[in-house]
Amino acid sequence: MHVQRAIEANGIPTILITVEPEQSGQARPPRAVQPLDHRLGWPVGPAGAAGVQRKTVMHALGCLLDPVEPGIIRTFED
Amino acid sequence: MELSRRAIPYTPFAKDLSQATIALVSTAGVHLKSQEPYHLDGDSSYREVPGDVSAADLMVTHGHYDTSSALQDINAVFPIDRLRELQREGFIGGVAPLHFGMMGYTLRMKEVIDQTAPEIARRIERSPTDAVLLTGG
Repeated sequence: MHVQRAIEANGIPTILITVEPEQSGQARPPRAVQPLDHRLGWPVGPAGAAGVQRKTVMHALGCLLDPVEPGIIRTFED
Repeated sequence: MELSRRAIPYTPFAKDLSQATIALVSTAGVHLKSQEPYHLDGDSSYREVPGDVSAADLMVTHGHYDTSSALQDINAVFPIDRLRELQREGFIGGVAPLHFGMMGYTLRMKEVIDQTAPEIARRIERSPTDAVLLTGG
């Protein structure tokens, strides 16, 4: 995602939630996380599933604190 | 500064989340219902979403994924309500005053690389934002 790289290059940390790891990986994201059970159209969580969405956002933001090598897409399950 | 494709720009996160203001950037085609929709055959433009937006005033326009979930609940792709809840609970420090939507599908990638992405990055840098959460479709 070019916009992610541009934001990061300007000095703001970023985290990407992706359900298309192959496509996202090609863009070499600084930080990315893939919720394994989520699908295209609802990367954060199903419509109306506030609890799942909340967990995804908390997990993704938590990844800001726990850096791994840039370019690696981490996976997690709800 | 031009970065090679192989190089990965990286900025360490040096704050507590409970003190950090978070912005959203999505390529899921998010925009205000009052804003011009994206062109389905490709669009390199972006839409500004104010931090105090009501979720009910947002929608998506995108031709390359099933948008039914996002149209039913924008938080499926753009978790603005979840951020507000996390702010109220003290998990994050704040919700940024500016967020951005794009469609993420265009045949004019050069425009995205040379114009759209740097412009969004500049605007975020100038707004009180400590970290950005990005989502695709």
